[in-house]
Amino acid sequence: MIEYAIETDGLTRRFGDFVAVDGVSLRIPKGHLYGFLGLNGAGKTTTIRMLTTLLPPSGGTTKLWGHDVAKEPLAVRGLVGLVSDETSESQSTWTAREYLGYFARIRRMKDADDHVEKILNDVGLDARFRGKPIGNYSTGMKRRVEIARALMGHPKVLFLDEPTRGLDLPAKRDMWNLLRRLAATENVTTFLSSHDAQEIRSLCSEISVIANGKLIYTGATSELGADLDTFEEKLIELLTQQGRTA
Amino acid sequence: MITTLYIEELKASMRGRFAWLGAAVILFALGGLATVGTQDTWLDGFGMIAYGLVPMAFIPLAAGFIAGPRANRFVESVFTAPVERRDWLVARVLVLMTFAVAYYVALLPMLVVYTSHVGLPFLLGRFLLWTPGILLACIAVGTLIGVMFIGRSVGAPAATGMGVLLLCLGMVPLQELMVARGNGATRSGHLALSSPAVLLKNALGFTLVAGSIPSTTTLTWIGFFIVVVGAFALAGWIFLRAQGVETWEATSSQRWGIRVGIAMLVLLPATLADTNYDTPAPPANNAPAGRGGFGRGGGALAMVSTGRQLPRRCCGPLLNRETSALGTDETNRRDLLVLLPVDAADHVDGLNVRIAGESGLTVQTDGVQALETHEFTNDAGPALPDGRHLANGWVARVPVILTPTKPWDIGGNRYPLTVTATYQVSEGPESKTRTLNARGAVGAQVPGAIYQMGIVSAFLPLLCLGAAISRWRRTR
Repeated sequence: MIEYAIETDGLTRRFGDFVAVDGVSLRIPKGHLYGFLGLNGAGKTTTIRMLTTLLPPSGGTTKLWGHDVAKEPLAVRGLVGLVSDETSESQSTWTAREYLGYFARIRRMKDADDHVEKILNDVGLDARFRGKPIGNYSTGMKRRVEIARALMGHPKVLFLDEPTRGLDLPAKRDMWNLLRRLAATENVTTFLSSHDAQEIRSLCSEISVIANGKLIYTGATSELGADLDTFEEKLIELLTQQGRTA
Repeated sequence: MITTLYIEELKASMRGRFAWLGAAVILFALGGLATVGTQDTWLDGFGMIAYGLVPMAFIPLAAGFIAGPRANRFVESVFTAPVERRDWLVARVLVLMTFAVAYYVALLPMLVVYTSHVGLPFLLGRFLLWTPGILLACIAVGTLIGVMFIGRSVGAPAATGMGVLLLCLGMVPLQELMVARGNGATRSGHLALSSPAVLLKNALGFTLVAGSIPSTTTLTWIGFFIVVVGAFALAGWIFLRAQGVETWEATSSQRWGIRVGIAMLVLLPATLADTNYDTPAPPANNAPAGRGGFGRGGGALAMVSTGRQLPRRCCGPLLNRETSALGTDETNRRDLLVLLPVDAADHVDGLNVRIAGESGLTVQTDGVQALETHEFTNDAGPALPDGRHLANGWVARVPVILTPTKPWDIGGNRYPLTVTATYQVSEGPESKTRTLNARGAVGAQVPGAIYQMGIVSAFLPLLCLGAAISRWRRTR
């Protein structure tokens, strides 16, 4: 029997009359690296925010490792890590050690300082910069800090929302390698949201495509094409069809 | 969990680029004000600013502090960790309260210098109760404002907080003015009570300038309680029940509840609070009752340093306005000049001058040292019975040793003194005995207080500056 890390059934979110996510149903097995594709404004971030307890759903049910997201938010928060594209910017005057130390301690981790150093080693942040303010870091270094923060407390499910946006190609490759290594070593379920087809295709074996708040495709990445060009063409075809329908 | 969050949030709050530096600047400014205030009106000037005005700045501070983590999206990271939103809000409010306590403690060194010299006057005693109350109310109101704003900038909540601060602050002199004019119980007078600072001032039974206070305070206390508890309760309810982490989730009835709640917070205390201003306000300190009487008049007395001439600008009721203030509890040698309303062409005989100090001022004198003539310009001379001002008249120089004792303030003490001069004037063959009664005052201050205040008030800001430099060096 397959055990699911994420199960959603008819997940919906409305903002007034606007339906941002419309009846999304997903089943993501434990330990998978899962891609979530869509154009800007398709509903990717809203879905992730509901799955991580940041946004209450307007309808549907969602379970994460068997815990109801709406009813047991604290249990869910103990299982997830979220990397979004801007959050480390919020504390640009903190050092990486201070930033991660804060989260280690509010997660009541023993030997918080040692844990911070270990996790910074894991994500490959140069020791010379760990005591410097995050505001002085490059985009790639900031993203490493964010991943380190998301990995704090050994999450079962890692949500990555546009993790490589704004990164140059070498930094992007570094990040992909890092994510592959984490998936292999930590055995976490990774939910990767992006509108970068190449990224999703490189990292994920299964994907869902969302457009205008609705899922328009769920299946193996390889089904959409053997190479990147075919993959992108099929993807555009899917999105265009959905655009005409809408 | 709240304790851990509180400690982490407290540490985090001082990691801002200018956090320690900002604290140092604020404390330096306050210390400078306290130091300058030793020269005059410490209690009225520094006291009002440090114990009344600055605490009200906690409204925009609290609003920005609560709204900040949502504005910069830090809450996304916090609430994807196993943290209860309730615990986080409580921890943030506790951090604000810690700032408030730190501010209160930062005023203590200056208070100690003041009270060691002049004790604890009534107004300062009330200020010491007023300040924590204002801090608490302002944190409550600021928290409510901070919770109301969900956006990507702290500008809106901070600006709203600033607007509410100005309103609450402006109500203080407005209410004093209205009470002084007998309009304290009018509708406008009631409206002025929507400021927590005014409510608490009335509840504690003191005024800043007005002459009367309310005879009862029970309803005023209830009004103040409504503001503090109501603002905290409404903020908590909105944050936990009507909002998500970064979104408004309020139903229509909840929205109405919020509107009504805010209206009640403004209107209930203003409507309820006591406005029976029938009791005379207690005096601010032990200053002599007539100190206000030295604002005008005078003209027959002047005081100069030993051997000096009558100053050009002469002669106000405060005799040493143009020279340095006297030191309290020490002997001060001066020449008192009595301007006799006698033309220099006439002859003065049998001059006898008696000087009596009041309110703790002792005056020693060996009598008149010299009788001098002086030419007055611009009608500055003493007035004659027919209204003319002397152009050239007699001035009696009386060396005095003044010892002001029992000061009631650290600076700006005005000790009254009464001078009675009897003399005979020869106008042609006739000789008439005349008496001149004149009142004036000498200003005195506690000697050395300026240095003591300066030193003690510099200690904490220097510590903050040290912390700012230390952090900058550690993280550069």
